[in-house]
Amino acid sequence: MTKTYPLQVIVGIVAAVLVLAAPASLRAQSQSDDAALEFSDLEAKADEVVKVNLWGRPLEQAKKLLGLRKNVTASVRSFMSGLTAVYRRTYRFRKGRASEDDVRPVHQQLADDGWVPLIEAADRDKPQSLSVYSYYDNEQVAGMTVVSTDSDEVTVLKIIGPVDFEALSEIGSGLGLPVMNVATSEIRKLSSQTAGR
Amino acid sequence: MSLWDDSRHLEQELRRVMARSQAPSGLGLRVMARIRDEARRPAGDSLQAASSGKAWFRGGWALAACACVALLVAIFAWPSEEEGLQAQAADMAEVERELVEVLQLAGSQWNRAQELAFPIGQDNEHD
Repeated sequence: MTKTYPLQVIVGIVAAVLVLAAPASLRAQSQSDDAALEFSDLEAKADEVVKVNLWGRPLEQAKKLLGLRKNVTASVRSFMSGLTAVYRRTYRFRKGRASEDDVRPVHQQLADDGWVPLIEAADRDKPQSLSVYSYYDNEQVAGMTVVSTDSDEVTVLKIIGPVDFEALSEIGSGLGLPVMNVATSEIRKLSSQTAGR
Repeated sequence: MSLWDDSRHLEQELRRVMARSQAPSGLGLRVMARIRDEARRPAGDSLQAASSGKAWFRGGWALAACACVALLVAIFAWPSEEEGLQAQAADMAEVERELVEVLQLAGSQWNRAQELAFPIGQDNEHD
């Protein structure tokens, strides 16, 4: 009797460790560093926040999957292959809107990080502004950030990697990438704004 | 015959066996002392002692059984290979959709920024 008791305990402990260790290791694998873009003031004020952090293995898999699809042009394929990280932050406001003071830290952070403003456009009559920043590494564009402010929305898009602006323009015109019914309200809104000019 | 009589009888038998055999006398004495102790102990106490030992035994097996059941549940409740692949494919599709969405948004914003910065009408005026 005394010989079997430790055996039972050992079996129990080993089984319990196996049961508990498996989810813990999965949790450890799923941890990611998403502290690249955090604007706490905007986040606190927004009614809806969209966050996209793509880098490392998920981005590589997505690029690979997208590269296998039809209708992806060579220039877009080449542009995508150089991407190392893609981030998106969208802050939506149902009531009221983000003030200039709320958006200022975004521009400040980009300036502090060495991003150079490429295009800055603002509408005097409407609460709209659009800023495009680029980042240079060895005199080559190594990244791009877009900050757009609308009446009910602030969006920050950051693309890290060599940027082919022609390929980006192609993508923006609805070419070069497969139609995936992503159909965001923002893209529709942008299209209508562009068409209305 | 009472428990006490039983133990006395057993003790006598054991003394005879020990006397005939070459076994160490210490072992026989210890066994006889234990028999005497058990026989003298009140019935309830004796039962409690016995059941206490059994409780450990049962507890040990219960622990092992629970752990084995938990392990089996974990193994069978774990997503099968097919389910895992489906989930992985869904995750990849979601990541791909997000990438396309961000790139299309960035492209649209880039085109819009160009139009705001370099309006086509202005170019025509210069022409």
